[in-house]
Amino acid sequence: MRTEDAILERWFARAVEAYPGETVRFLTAERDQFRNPVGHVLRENLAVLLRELLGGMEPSRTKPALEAIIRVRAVQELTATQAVEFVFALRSVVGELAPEHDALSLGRKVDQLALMAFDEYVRCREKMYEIRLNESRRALSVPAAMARMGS
Amino acid sequence: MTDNRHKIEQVPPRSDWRDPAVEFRKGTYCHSAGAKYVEALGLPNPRDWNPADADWKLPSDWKEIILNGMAERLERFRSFKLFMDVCVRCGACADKCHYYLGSNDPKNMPMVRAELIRSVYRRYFTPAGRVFGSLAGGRELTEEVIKEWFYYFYQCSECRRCSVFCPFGIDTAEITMIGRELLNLLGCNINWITKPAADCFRVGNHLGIQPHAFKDSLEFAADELEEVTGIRVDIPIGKKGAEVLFVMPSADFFATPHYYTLLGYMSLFHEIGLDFTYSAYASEGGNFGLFTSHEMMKRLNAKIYDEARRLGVKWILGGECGHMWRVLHQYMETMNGPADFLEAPVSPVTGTRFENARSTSMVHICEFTADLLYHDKITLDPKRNDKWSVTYHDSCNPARGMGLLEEPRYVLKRACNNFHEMPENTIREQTFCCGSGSGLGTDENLEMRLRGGFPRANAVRHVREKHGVNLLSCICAIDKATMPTLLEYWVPGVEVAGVHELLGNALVMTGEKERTTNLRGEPLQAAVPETSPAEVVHG
Amino acid sequence: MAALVAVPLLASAAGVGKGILLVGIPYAAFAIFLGGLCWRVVGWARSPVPFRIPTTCGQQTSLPWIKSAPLDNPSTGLGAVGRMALEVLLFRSLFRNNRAEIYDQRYVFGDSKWLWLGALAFHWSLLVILLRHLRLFVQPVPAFVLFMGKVDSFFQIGAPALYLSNVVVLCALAYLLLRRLWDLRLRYISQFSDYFALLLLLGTALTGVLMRYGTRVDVVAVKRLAIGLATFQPVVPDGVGIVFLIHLLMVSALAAYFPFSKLVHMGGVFLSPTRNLANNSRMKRHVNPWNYPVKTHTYAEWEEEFRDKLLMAEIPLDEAKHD
Repeated sequence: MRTEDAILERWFARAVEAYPGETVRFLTAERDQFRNPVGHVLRENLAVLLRELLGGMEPSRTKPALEAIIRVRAVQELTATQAVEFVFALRSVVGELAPEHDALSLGRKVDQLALMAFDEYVRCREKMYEIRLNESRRALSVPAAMARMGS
Repeated sequence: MTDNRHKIEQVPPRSDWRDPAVEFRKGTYCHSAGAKYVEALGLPNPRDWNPADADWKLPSDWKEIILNGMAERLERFRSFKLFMDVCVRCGACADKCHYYLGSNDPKNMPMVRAELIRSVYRRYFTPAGRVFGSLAGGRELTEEVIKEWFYYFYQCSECRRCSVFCPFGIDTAEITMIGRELLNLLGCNINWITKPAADCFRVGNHLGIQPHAFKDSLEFAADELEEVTGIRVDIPIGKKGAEVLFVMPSADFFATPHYYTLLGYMSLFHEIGLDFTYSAYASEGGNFGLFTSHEMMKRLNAKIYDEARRLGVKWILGGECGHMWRVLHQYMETMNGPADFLEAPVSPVTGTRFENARSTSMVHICEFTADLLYHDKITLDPKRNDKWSVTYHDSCNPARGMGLLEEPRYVLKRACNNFHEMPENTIREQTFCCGSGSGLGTDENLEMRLRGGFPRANAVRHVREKHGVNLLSCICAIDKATMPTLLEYWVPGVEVAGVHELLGNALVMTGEKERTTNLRGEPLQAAVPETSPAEVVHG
Repeated sequence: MAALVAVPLLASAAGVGKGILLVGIPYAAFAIFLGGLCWRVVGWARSPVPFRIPTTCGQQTSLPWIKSAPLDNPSTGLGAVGRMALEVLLFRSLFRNNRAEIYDQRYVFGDSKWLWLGALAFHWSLLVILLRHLRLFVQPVPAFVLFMGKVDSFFQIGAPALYLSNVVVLCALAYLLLRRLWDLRLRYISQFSDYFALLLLLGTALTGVLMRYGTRVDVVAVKRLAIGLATFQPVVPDGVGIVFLIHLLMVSALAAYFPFSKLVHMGGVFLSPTRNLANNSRMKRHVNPWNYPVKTHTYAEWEEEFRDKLLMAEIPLDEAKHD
């Protein structure tokens, strides 16, 4: 296995640690995109993030990948800390598996990503208030429209 | 340097499902039913209480009530009795529940959800359990267990997906229905079910829209439709001797995007000159009794046949709604029949006799429209739907409690030029629930709904990326209410519409003016070119 | 002197003990099995099926030009029988357990059928083994039993020839057990009774295999015992051996345990209302034997309550009730 694959596997394992024990194996083992959507989103996007962290941190690729992961974690039974914790885990994973890597530069990128993750987490929670409001508007839209039209 | 300092709070791994403790965390449970609604329906133990409180104000003999209630239901329902006995815990259902897939909470695995009640059954109703207790899989009935039931039976949308994969056909929906009936005996109801049920019982529909306001809404819809088509349609209400009684879910006349589907029905009925009537008394097709108890289901459903009998119609046509059709198809005639005062439905336009509905005398609008299209009795201009790239979400109840799969697809494929299916194991009988069915579509429960809806949204995202899908069509009022919310969070840029909205858009009406907008009042063509699939954000 | 008395006493006690082990326990276990199973099935059957609630797994029968799924969503009794046959003989629902993995933009199906295969292999080989045992109970041995034995040992591996069903049943049981231990989700839901049933079956199968290929037993003695039991003229033969005894006791335990455990799914599957009913509830009224009248809000009550609003909106009132 290439080092990067090994890092990804270890990182994934760290990211699912937040879930109840019985679920960890399912999230890890089941590869079907539709039978294991949570694991799939996590795996796909961690791979993108890893490439970017070891590479150039291109925002147009980093941001959507991070968003996809956080969006899932923001609605699950996780605290804010647990939702973003996986980002920090990368530092030690890389430290263990690829000690030759420039820890300082990676550390900076991880910090940057972590800050983005916090932002995204807050955005998701805010989004939930917004969609909640929109839903209640739609639920009574006809009477509201009638009132507007003076019907 | 260590990462461990970030691990402030770990989710305690539940080692044993027998531990009933649950935490009522905001966003993941529904409010309790207000006392006045419980009272209005004459249900037991009306009181004000909150699931997050320690004291649920249960009646003092609550344990006896539950055990007697179980005994009674074991005698009444073979399904319940059998499903308590035959599960072998093979695990085939484990990853079939959308709540489990989205929440990863192991108690959302269908067999564990059933086991919550099954363990009590074993302890109190089987010889092995009485003697060996927990060794035989039994569990004591405590107040904690009641709270756990409440938490998890209001976390099952009765979608029946697990039942498709179970080698014994064990249907968690059936178990959840009984579980909720038992909870109702103690007065543990949720407001989003009980209030609409109470309003439906007294006034006629879930929102308690009174007859004059009902008429106003329909008139208002006719005005809107006239603006789009230049044609004024009739609004017959309570017309005696009409051939057909039309019943729809009430959301069709007070919420969007349901409302555009109503405009679709109206255009269709006008174009074919159907002799029909709406009813202000039976102004609700939906039936939240299904989510309360079998008895409540029967009480609310009775109106439809009563009204058909009073008006002297020949048969009944039903609009787009999921759980409404589970009741109409599998329960109505058994509960409130026989429908011997009605005739076997015959389409007045094509002469087709709907043999499949000959006894119940109620036809699904998609069956009716598919028949019209098959006989080329209406003209469609699918180009009017060209701004949409459409996929179809099978609603759980019509799919797994009826088998209505091809009729809506036939209509869609005729009414739209761009139609794309979602992956095989997420549609038809394997369809994923919206996550808000069975009375859980309330806003305080949003977080749980977003989890439950994630598997469905994930499949929508797939077709969005692959085919540029921007519209999800469906035939369920709960889908129409909650899918837009779901998609706004998970797959922004995909809207939601009823099948008959798309039909209404495409329908060429005799004497209509040139259409410049669709039924939503939006220009027929997209203002800016749609984002191509490649540009859609991946993730 | 004492020895002279004690020896015959002990011998007769041993004889009685052997009788209990070889005759008493099997009879008791079989009686519990039959009685218990009847009690369970009658118990289920006594509860009515108030509603017609099949889980529909395919297109309904509606318009004549729409192709329906007669086995996955039957609209006739015959179709429901077909559906049950598929379910019971081929485990149709477990087979549905598919997945769509995406490799290079195309779907690859399959690969998730292990549970189906394991369950099917176990149940079918168990049936073959049970039927093969008839050669011990019936004299002369029926032709189909001999034939089955021939087919089962088709490959003629070793002497006595290896029965395929023995290999299959052991592999399948091992798979079912390992899967329960290996898969965290399954381990989470598994109960004592799940392991107990598997271990009992595994023990029975292992002792059976051991007798055939390892410590040989006196087949003539075993057959004398078996025919004696089957014809209700029990004899207690000598020299059946300890392995046989364990085998027999495990089978007895299994039979007696059967009706009180999840193993009764064998009988239950036939009664499942989501599978054994035709989806024809709109074609033919299904009757609920305990259907009772309920309190409704009648039209007359409703009209009375909303009369003013109805008049205001010019919605026609009911003439029959209105002057």
